[in-house]
Amino acid sequence: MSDWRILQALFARELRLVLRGGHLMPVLAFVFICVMLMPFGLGPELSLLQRLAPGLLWVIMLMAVLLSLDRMFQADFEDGGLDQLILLPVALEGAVMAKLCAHFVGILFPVLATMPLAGLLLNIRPDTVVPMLATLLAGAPALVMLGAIGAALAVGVRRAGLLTVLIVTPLYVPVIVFGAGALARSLAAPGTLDVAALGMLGLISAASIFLAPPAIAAALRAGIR
Amino acid sequence: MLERLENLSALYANPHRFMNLAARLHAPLWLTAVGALGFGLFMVSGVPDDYQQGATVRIMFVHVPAAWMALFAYSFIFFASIVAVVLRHPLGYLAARAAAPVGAVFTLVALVTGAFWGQPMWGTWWVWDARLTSVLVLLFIYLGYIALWEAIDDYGRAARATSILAVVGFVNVPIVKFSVDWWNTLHQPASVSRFARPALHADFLYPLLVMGVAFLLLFLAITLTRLQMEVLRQRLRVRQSEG
Amino acid sequence: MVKTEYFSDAYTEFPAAAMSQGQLSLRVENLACVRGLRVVFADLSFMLAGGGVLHVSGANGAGKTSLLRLICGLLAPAAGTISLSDGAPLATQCHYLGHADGLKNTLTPRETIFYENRFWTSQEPRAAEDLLSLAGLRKQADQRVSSLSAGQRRRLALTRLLAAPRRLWLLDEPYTALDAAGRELVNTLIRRQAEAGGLVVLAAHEPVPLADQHLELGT
Repeated sequence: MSDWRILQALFARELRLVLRGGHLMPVLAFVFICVMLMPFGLGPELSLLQRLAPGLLWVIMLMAVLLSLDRMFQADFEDGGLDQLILLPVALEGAVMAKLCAHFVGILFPVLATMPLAGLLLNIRPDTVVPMLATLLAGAPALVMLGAIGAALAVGVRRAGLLTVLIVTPLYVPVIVFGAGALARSLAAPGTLDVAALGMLGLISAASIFLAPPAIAAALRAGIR
Repeated sequence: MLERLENLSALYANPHRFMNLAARLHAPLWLTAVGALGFGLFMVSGVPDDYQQGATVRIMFVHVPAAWMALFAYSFIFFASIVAVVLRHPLGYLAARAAAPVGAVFTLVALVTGAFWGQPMWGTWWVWDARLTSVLVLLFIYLGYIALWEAIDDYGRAARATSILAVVGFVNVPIVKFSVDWWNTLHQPASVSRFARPALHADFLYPLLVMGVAFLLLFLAITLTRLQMEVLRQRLRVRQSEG
Repeated sequence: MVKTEYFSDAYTEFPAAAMSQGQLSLRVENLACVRGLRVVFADLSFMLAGGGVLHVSGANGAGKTSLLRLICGLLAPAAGTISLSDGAPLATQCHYLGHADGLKNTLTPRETIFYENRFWTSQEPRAAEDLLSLAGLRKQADQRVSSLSAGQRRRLALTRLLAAPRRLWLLDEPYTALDAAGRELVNTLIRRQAEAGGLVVLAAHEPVPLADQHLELGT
């Protein structure tokens, strides 16, 4: 497919932009600040933190993604890159996917990689780490795709951050329900997770990968008028 | 310039036919709505107290229809958006915009009456049970939709963006319901449904249905009025921007 | 200083394959543009034949930018049609250079050209060196775009026009921030495009002697 080379180049450029744009640092800082504040808010009692850790990390991850949405399309809107993205000779849905893949690799991967360390600070059970990572990994595509819908709808609007959060939160509810829910029984049966819930989560992620791009593309086209 | 404006009026929903129809429907619709509501409330007052919940069971007759309307209003927004985009009838955008705050208010009513209904039973004003939680998420869906309309200055862009959001939200609603139901059973494996409805025999069913119809008529009356208002506001804005 | 002889080396392979000599034309009929609730213009019609350069002028807000965006499809018309004589879809046939140049501040000129060369066609990409020389950015090739002057940025943005041959060029105020040498570069590019049978529509406040058609908006 001759479009593939164009998409590859787009992915490469977007990844370079994400890495150079300093988007990662605020997100990582947010994750660790939240993790640090939790014991102050909840008390340092280790068993309590242990019980809450998987759920807390899910919420923190979700909010970290929300934080990263702000810059997703904003720079392109401001410098005219959005026009060029739409005019590219590939389908806009494909271009959007390339951009979101770069976002995923550049921001979500590093965050996921630090999750075990964050879990350590919250005294997470060691045998829960892998199941937790599995659920985070299964849910991360959904978080990015659904978040992108909100970011695209709000692109260029003043105080877009609040609007994006408001739009995206109802979309995130099923994701976190199944994501954290898959771990809910892990304390009773240590080291396991609810495979049915994980499957549901994977299904939501897969569906969002197919269904979100047309919505994102339509929203971006509306946004540049 | 004015002739050109009229030619382009399709974009701005300057629908004479609709306004004439609306003017004729306005009074009868309101009268029927208020009448039905009055009749419904009369029936509700005649309902015997539930042996478990006492007189507070009457809140159900407001809570349940309000929840129905909350869902109905969002479906209305969805279908209006589809009409606007697919059938290219610009009145759809205005209809969706008109219905949104009405739906949001019904959702809020459902939440508040739900809290009032449950309080004597639970001892607290809020529980995270499946139904109330789903309705809360629905409220946020409405708020996001309304916020998007308000945030975007350009009407054309706002109309398009909100129609996309309406479709996305509509697909999301059953998914949220399903997930919240699952989540609820997950954390309360042996729970008794908090909103155990009294057995729906005739004493309870008929007043409920009448209240449901009354709320529906009320929704339609309010939305129709707001839609007329939106059309007029639109006309005013167009004239202002030309002047 | 721009070396125009260098430019001719870089440009030779282009035009013949891509252009249909003199056959192509752009036709606009009864075009109406609406921004927000305001009618910017209506009943606009014109035709631009192959090899033609159209200069669009008018006061701010008259719709110059909107017209260019309508032609390439970034904006949808409220009424009317825009078409090419051979029926090809417009979005794939044009290069659009807007007010906002679409340059990324954290990339270098070399990287910018590298990527642009790959975005607009999946054919073998052009070498970056010629285009860097063309834009007079050899020395700044590996500095970030954010450190370039406005004129240098504009010259870099112009290199997109050469990344892949396109029959229609839509240029919004291309002369902004450019000195005499930069203006000469723009004119040379436009001249070459027209000679090859391509179409150029440019919006500019100042007079454009190069143009053979003129359209005044807002009257």
